[in-house]
Amino acid sequence: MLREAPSTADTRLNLALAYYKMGSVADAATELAKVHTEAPANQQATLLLADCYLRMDQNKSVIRVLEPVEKTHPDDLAVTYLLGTALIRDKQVEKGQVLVDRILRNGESAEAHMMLGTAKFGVADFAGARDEFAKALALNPDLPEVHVLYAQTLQVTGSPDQAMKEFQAELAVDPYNFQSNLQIGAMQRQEQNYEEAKKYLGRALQTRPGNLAVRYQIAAIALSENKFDEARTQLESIVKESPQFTEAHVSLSIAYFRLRRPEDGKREREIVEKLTAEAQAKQPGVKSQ
Amino acid sequence: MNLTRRRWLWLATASGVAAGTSRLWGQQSADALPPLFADIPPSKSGIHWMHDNAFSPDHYLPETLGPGCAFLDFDNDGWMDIFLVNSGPSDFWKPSKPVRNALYKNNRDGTFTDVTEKAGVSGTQFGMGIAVGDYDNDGWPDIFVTAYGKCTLYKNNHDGTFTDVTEKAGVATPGWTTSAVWFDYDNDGRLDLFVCRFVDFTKEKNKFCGNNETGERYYCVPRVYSPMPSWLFHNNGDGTFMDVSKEAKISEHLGKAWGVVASDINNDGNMDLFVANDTVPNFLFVNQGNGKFKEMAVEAGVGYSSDGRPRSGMGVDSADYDQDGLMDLFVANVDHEMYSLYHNAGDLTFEDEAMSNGIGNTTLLMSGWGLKFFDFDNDGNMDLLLVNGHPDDRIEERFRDVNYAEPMLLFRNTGKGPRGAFENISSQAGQPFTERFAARGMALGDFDNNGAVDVLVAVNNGAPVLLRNNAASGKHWLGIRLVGKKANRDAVGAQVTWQAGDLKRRVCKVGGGSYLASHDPRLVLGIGARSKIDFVEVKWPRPDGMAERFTDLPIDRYITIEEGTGTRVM
Repeated sequence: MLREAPSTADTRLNLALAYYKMGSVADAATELAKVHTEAPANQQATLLLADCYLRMDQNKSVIRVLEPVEKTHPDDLAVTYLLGTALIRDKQVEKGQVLVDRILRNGESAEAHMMLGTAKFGVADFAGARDEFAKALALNPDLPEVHVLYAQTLQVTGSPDQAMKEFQAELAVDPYNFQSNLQIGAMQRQEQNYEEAKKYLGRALQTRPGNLAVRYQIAAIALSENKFDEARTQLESIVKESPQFTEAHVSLSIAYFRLRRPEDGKREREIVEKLTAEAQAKQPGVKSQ
Repeated sequence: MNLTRRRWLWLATASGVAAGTSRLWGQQSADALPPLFADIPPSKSGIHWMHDNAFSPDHYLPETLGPGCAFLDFDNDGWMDIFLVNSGPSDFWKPSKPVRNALYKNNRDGTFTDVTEKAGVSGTQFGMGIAVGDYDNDGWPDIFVTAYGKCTLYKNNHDGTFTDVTEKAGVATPGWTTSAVWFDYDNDGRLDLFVCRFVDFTKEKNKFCGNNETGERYYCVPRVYSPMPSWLFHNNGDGTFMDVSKEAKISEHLGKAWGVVASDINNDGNMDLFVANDTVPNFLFVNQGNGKFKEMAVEAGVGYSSDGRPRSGMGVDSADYDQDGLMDLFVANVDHEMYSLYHNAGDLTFEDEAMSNGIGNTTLLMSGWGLKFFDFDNDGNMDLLLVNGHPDDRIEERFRDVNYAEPMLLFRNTGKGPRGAFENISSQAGQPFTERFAARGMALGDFDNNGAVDVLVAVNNGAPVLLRNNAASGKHWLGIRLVGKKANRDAVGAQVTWQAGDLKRRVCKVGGGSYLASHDPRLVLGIGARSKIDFVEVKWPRPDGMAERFTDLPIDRYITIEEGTGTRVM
């Protein structure tokens, strides 16, 4: 139908919705971007597009799409919430805080606690973030991503079992939630449940095709399963795409050593040392006395 | 043996031979039983010494990282004495009152007497850790104290006193040294010395870490300081040592070394070294048997976390926890990194089994220092004790879920390894395990000679904690003091196998382990409820390297086993 009437925004929107429900967020975003170009006044498409970008961690795109909308619809809490979240995630905390305050003026809301939690998470106040997400969850357990964000804070504050339950709760309402699939996959890998891990990581990859973090986890599984050549291939591809990915260089070094390629292993280890030294030189807040 | 019904129930439940009794046990009054471990207060032990960490508003890093401690029998009376390391004068601190180490003589009645001054081991440096070993094979333990400043080697004079022979021996290492280990890397029958070196730090190089706006400081993460090479000293056999760090290929690897354990990870009869580094990858120095070491941590899978990140390695140890004939490794890290239990796969690779043993999640928010595998209940399985505490006294201002003072952890080995072997029984281990400490060094030793290995914990800026082990009462054991003749006299590297009926176990006498600490040199072989040991077999370290069998052995006491006095086993 789209081939016959490529400018039919409604049809494209339906297709995007279908992709969205299937967990193909990137495909949904592609279609929604076209709708947004054709019909910028279509608020539903705009919000959905922003949501897709948020799920894909493309915060600057969310800001680009929503900032003009927010100027004309300052009372639209959905717009305020999505834009505020993107701003905070993009480290534009002061601008995001303005939107948090706007939501708070409407009384206590799950959305406000979500944004406050996101802001606290961003500055490594994990316990504070956890408390905010817990409040958001209590007020509205259906808020998108509330379980996954709460789970992430539980994970870093020492409650991995509870975190796992929350990740699973998120997947119960959104089976293709990227973070939940990635984190459960990583946790299952650490528990050495490799087949289970691959299932979740596969789903995460479906949501964000080519995502490096997911691909790294899959490569790490191959390494643990002694599939050294498979791991090598995957890791070589990752470091080619992202030469600064130190952890991938570490794993690639191990893969080379296990493949009896010590010279390549040493070369990778040297890259790790160089990257680590560069990162250490940029440590913030440290100066010689 | 006077075994009460309650004691029997406890033993049966703990050893799993009476699985059906656990409900019944749950109905017993817990206060009728002694706790597994009990704190012996200074009023009873006579140990009134306190560590002074030299705290300053400038938060110089050495302040927060000591002290070490040791069990040793300095007067050869068969009773474990105690050594405690203190800070001292340095380029950033001039103490207003005297600060000194402490040597406590065991009075054989549960009390100790301070003999430091007479012994001449007060120290003049900002002390960190201790390694005890009979480097001159004269049958008397000598003491090596590491420091921020300069190390000190105290030679035992056999009369309750020591002589500082540091300069003469050639081991006056400058800079900041931490853990050290005596071991015989070249199998010439003499103990050599490996000394961990931490970062390149002086008062002038102190960096500001803290709040740039308020100027308030906290202790820097060592990431901001440059790594340094560690030292290996070869024992020349004439009271002197030669720095062979370069020839042995140790010094070409720069690290930030905290803990070290000497262990034979590939069963080739050459002692290897596992070194924990802070914020840079750990080292696994595999002894090539030709005077050289090959650093293989990355390929072995023990250099980084399983996510490819360097961690803040601190305490280490090594033991064959699952009795598969291969020495495994353990390293404690800082909060949000989890500790690692590295299971030896036998091909010079290791798999981290911390998660599958419940250690990963338990230690997620903790920072670990002293740690040791040991059989606390003498059932024949290697259990695990961890002492903890965050290095930054202001950490709670930044991370609400992380604490400066942390509890100790006790994991019981159920014998079901390599996965699911350990069970966290800290909550049942007694009052000391409900308290929190800024623990650093931790040493093991049976100070009351009852076969139950006790614990000494050194606390930063506090009094040491001495724990009496009550868990092994009612279980049988044999304590052995190995004396090498051709091998190094302390028999570091010896492998001991024993059989008691259906129980057959093997341990390796590792060098060092834990953090800044040194341990009772004797081995306690647990046999649980069995009342007879069929044999003990000792494979002595080289140069001879022979295996000998000993039979008709007593139980529930300590004996001395000398190299060359058993029946040779081919």
